[in-house]
Amino acid sequence: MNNHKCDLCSESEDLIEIEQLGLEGKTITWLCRKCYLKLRLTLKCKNCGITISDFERTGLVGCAQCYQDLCLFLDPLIIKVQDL
Amino acid sequence: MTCPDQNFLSVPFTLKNWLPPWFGNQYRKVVFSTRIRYARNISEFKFPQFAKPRTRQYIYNSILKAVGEDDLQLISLFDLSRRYLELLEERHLINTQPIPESYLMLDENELISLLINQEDHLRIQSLQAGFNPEQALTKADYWDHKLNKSLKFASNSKLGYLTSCPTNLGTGLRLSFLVHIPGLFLTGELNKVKSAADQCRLAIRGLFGEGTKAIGSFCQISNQKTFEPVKVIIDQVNKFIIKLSDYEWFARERMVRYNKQFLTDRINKQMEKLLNYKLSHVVSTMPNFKGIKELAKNLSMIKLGFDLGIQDQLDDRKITYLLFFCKPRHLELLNEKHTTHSFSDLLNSYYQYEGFTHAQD
Repeated sequence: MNNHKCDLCSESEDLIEIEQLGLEGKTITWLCRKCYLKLRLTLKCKNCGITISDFERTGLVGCAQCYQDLCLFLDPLIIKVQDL
Repeated sequence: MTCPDQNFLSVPFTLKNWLPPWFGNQYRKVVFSTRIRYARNISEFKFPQFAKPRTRQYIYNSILKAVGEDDLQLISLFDLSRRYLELLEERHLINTQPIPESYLMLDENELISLLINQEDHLRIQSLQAGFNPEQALTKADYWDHKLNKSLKFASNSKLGYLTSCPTNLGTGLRLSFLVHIPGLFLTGELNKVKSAADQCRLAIRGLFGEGTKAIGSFCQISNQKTFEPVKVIIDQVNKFIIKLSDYEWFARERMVRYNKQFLTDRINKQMEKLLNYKLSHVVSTMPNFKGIKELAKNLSMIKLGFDLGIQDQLDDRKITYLLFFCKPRHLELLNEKHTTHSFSDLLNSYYQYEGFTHAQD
């Protein structure tokens, strides 16, 4: 039985496990599907304004800060392509 | 295709050698060249595709200043017509459509090039003939260190160098080798090579990089992971290439042992075909690459014939020259110079080797 909760709204149902990169290795962030989808649509880089759908369209990020502001969605991809 | 009223030969930049020094001397008659590429961006600025023209201009000025007195030719890519861009692409100097304020700087031998404002603010590329990763790395590192002194490259402790595409994060290093492996193609063992490369997380690409197919048994093999230390990446790719060269020679020796007569007949037939080719015919079938592919296949067999001592009618130097020219825009250039010539005439032509060394001659 796991006791995970959504890191944003504390919901414990329908959770998505998201791998993140930390300085000391991988960590896990838990989000409920609702928060996950909402973030996916609204999250933007504060410096250049790039969204996840912009990134998906071009395969490119807009600036160095994107890696920080969009890490929730970019980190799993980096882990996969870099085989980390 | 060729615009008939415009002379393609008046190339708007200088190419000292039509056959660049990085293409010629091969390692074990398999590895034609070594390429190292670093992807770098300057801290605090948006990456080129999303930056304003003013920012890209600033990036360009900053890099130009950092390059200083070193003697590099500067080419404004956005001002070039498509076929000159394709000419540079065929020489492995660029690989995407340019955006405004994108530039190429290169040394006279095309061994070092700096690509400014394409996918990343800066790409440092170092090419060497044969299997020579140490030399290629030394030269790339020289430029990396030199430019890093006055430009602050974007990086952080979590992800290393920050690049426009996440596939280049970490070291920003791509090491690739251009290999000619007709033995493995002819014996149908390429799939084994591909799965071995997959396991080592290496990519096998066509002659002109990502998304292109192998032509004339030429492939490019490079690292996919860029996160590991430079030394680890280089050791891993090196080991694979050395093994690949062994397997290529096993395949070649096997063919000679069991199918020598068949191979000899095939090579002789290809030689006869080559000597009867008309350059204009190859150029006219270029839009669908059919003529080029056929010619490349033909030259690849003749090269294999020379490597195995089956034919010596065409020596390594001539074959290498033709192999390098076996690309649409390069053939187009040859065709403008030698419209009515057959390959047989062309091979005996002085211009082929000596006089045809400068685009603006």
